[in-house]
Amino acid sequence: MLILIEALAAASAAAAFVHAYLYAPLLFWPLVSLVLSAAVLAALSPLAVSRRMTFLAHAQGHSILTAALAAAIPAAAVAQSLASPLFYLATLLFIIVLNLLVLFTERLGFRKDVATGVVMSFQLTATVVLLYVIRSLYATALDPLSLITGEYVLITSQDVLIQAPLLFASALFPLFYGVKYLYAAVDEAFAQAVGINPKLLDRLFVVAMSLAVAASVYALGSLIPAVLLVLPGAAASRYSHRLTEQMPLSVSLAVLSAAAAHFLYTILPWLWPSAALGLALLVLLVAAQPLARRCV
Amino acid sequence: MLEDVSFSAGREFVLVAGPNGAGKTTLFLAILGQVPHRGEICVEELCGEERAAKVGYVPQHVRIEAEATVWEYVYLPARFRKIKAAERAAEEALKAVELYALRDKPVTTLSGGQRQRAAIARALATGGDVLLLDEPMANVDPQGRVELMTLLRELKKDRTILMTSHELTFPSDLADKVLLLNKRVVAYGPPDAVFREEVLMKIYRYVRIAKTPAGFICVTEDYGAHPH
Repeated sequence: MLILIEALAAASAAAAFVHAYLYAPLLFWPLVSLVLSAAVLAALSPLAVSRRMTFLAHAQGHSILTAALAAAIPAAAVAQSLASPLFYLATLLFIIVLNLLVLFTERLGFRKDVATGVVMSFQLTATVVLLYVIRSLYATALDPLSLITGEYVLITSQDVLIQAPLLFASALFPLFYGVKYLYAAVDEAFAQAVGINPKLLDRLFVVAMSLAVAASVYALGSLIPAVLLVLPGAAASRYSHRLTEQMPLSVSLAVLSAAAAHFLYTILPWLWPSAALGLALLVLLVAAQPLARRCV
Repeated sequence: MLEDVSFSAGREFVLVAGPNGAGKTTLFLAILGQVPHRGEICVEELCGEERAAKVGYVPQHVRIEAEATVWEYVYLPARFRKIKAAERAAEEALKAVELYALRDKPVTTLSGGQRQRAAIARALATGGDVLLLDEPMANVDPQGRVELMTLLRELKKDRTILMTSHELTFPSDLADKVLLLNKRVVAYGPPDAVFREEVLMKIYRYVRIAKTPAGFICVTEDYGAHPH
């Protein structure tokens, strides 16, 4: 099953790139950005699913919007666009702080879900304040809606160059610690006995998630990265119960969905690519359901 | 907190007994180097943190909270520990516990007894010279217990096994020695020397001892002795 899905993903991605290059050149770099972001976020997805961090992963939607709004203000103040390195770095800084706040709140004695909820509540409050500040001071320079939906069609090779190092840094965690982290989700006590430090890996995972989300926000907006942190991993667990297949399956499903989203967008231009991506992932998740029943 | 714990074991089966909170699990974690301790703990002449690589561990609660196959469950920790020929070690361990045929099944679909056997296989694959089994009989049905005891009888032939239990009923031929703990060593020696009323009464007030014709040493509740 894994090889089949990997081959299908590779073929469909190749087809989408060729199509974009030859017939829709303006969508070539957006597609590169979409595939890269989808692949890295999806590599993190089984880790969030197995480690029961989907709630935290979904909270990324709130965190990234707050972080991006907070980052947009200094970017606008120095007359830089949302595609500037300053915006990306400020977003990254704010999202890491917000994510680490969840772990800090946990240490105050709150349960993981409550800690996430408490920080999310703070973020929502801050979001309203930031939206008001932007509307009052930078109404002509900034469009907050673009931070929600993303500026997919405006993505250039320059944006991909800014994104790539952040995505690469994020991908290091699943590459080097992914299997160990997944095993810690299977049996934390035993993982510790063989020298794995799950708490340290939790922190590194949160940083990796922050990097990937911050890198994707300009292209995909603040909502779809959260979807990519949950759905590919959830779907992968339906297609296979092998721990070592979760990450490659998740990445393949996300790349397949990104290619499908590209074609859907060219056929139905009113369907925004990030929304098409979410839709394709949902279809793949539902399609796996009969298979999951057979496995059990 | 444990104090004054000093004992040595050869290739034999040591039952680590004691009431809840006696420090049985803490003793195992100290051997694994996961809790701070004073003094020296050596496993086959390795007295530093490297001794943990010689020790296979079955935690008290074998929780399986995410998907993995039986093979991955046993093999991956051996790979993490950089065990030489990890694949072969995992294969032999699964064969020893008679789960090799189920290696591609999700570990979550195993029965309670099978899960304990899988956990023992994992301990064997990650450091089979010394096995630490923390309450392996808990949450296992009678059939599973008989299977586990038969397996342990085989395994103790060529390794050191330390097994904790707060239940004291077990086949008398299984344990070579009993380490009776209650924050410190209360007694250490052959089962017949430790399971005597005058010894057990130091920590248990309401128990009595019997030996069944089938060779089981039974330490059971003595409700009559309780003042109500």
